[in-house]
Amino acid sequence: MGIRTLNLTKTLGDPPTPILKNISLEIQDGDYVSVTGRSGSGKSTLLYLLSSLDHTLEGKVEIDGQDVNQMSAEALSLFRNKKAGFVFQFHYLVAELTAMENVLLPARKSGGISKRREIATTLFEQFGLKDKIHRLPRHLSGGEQQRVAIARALVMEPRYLFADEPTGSLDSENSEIVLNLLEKANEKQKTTLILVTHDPGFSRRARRQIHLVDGQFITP
Amino acid sequence: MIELAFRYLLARRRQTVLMLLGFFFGSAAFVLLSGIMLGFRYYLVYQLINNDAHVHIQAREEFLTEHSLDASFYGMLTGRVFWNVPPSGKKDSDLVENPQAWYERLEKDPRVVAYTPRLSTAVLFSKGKATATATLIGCDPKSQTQVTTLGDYVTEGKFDALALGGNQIAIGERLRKKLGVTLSQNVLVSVAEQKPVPFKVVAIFSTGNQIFDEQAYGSLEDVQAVNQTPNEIDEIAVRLVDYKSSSAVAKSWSLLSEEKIESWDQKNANIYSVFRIQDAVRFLSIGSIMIVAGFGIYNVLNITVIQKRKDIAILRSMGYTTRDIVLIFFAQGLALGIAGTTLGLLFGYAFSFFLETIRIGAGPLGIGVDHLIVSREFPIYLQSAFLALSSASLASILPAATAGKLTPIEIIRSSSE
Ligand SMILES: Nc1ncnc2c1ncn2[C@@H]1O[C@H](COP(=O)(O)OP(=O)(O)OP(=O)(O)O)[C@@H](O)[C@H]1O
Ligand SMILES: [Mg+2]
Repeated sequence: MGIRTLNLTKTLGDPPTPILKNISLEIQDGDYVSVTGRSGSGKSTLLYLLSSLDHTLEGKVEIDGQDVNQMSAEALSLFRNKKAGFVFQFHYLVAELTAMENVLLPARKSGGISKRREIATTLFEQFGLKDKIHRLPRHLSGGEQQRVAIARALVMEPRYLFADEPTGSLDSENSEIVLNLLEKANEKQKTTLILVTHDPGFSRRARRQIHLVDGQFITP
Repeated sequence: MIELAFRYLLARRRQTVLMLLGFFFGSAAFVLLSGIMLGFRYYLVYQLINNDAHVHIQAREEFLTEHSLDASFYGMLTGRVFWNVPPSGKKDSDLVENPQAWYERLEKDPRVVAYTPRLSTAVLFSKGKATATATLIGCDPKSQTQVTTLGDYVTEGKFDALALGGNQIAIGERLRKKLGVTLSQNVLVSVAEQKPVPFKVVAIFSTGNQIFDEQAYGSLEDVQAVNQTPNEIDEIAVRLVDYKSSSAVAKSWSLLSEEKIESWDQKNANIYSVFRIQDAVRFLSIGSIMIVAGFGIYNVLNITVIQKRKDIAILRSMGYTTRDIVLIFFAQGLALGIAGTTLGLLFGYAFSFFLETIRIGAGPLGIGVDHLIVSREFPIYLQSAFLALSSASLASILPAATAGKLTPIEIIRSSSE
């Protein structure tokens, strides 16, 4: 099914400035898309529109054939909980909870914690965090925190993975580790990966590249 | 959601304890203050109900007005009379008219437990050089002990001995001290200018109430004789089955007769207005503690919501709904309220037992208990919990609603800048 946009336009600020202009694109299930562009070009704005966190009345976004603007609050909540995973530049972990508890947060919302705990344990092993499961975020390095955040995004085995500069605050070694984990989910689980990045090297690894200029995209 | 709320609270232990203390002190203070006030109040009311009759039937007191006597002096036709010195004072006869009719009525009334006719008169007691003016009450000794609990307070002798007649009296402890008499001694009783009559002390009572303890009781006939008013009474004191119905009963009787009929609570109406003031003070002072505690929660939660914006964003992006977020923050405030209040109530309950061991002299109204009385009745605890929890809920719902209104995209945009 995938995600489809039709004449998507987003205007922000005062005076209203169009950030995205008439964007129509289609992302297939299992795709790996990178979004690049200089700072302020609207990469994040596009990602949040595609992922249902943001919405606009000009043009439309369809996720799995459903118009986001028509979806009820419950449907949105269900989609975000079961089908979408988010990774942000700053790894937004809840400071009061341990790594494992952070990863299990989505499961706490919808139940089935014990099954998810197994998946989480496997993820911690794969991510090289086996001995850090019960640490609080402040006792983890930035790279480790971001890996925990990725585990949290993957624990519900989502169909879509939205990553906004997930390597933005990491050194090159950690960036490589993090990107590999995301790509592996795309390869193994066939999770649709939409990756916003500054790094042209990373961008080129995607199956499809979207480059934003003046609110419109060009595919190199 | 609730567990997450607890995790947030546990992570901020010092703040949590401080907020909890507000409700702890508020509810403990409410329970103790109310307990002391009401404990004393119930004791007082108990005394009023038991040491005095429930309903008093008395001769109507008629005060003279400027024109009360016009008709008697000048006939009905006189339009206007001007007095040099207008009449004033009280009509002389302060006796219950036709008591026999009352006895029959009271005998038949199922609401009445007992009644006694009485005649009170101010007399001069003397014993050697010691003198004291006091009220001597003539009563039917058997009924008197059923109408009030006076019989329970007899420390020496027997109240029932009065029934034998022959100039015997039961005397209050304070009056006894003033006169320096002991049991079976004689005191002289004189009314106005008349010749003193010797009375023998056959009982001594001590109620702890100063006013009662300065009175003396004799048999009705003896007192009527001393007063030189045979067969006259000025009051019928009545005890009812249910003291709570006193004012209703009094009202129904006053429709039937000329007499002044007063229930114990009407007689002590001034005490009730004091009670109302006490209640207002109690609720206002504790209410303000609760409001301060509420503001504490309000402020801390507001700050928490601002500090946890990123958590809110990430939770929302995982599918947590507005309701979930509201609940997470509301539960924090409410949990503090519940925990603080529960601890406060428990502490207040326990501490009230300790307070009761504190010795005090006889109270300001001369009520004789030698320790504090603290009421532990359930409604006090309920009121306290209600006050605290409404304050906690009100204080939490506003910040929680603010948290619920934040959308993930707003938070992400504003925090990435
Ligand atoms: N709330 C807002 N009000 C007005 N303008 C906004 C608002 N949020 C973002 N913008 C503007 O929209 C444009 C696109 O922002 P966006 O965050 O999508 O850029 P980006 O490509 O992700 O940049 P970066 O690489 O720095 O993250 C920017 O010019 C930004 O200034
Ligand atoms: Mg961005």
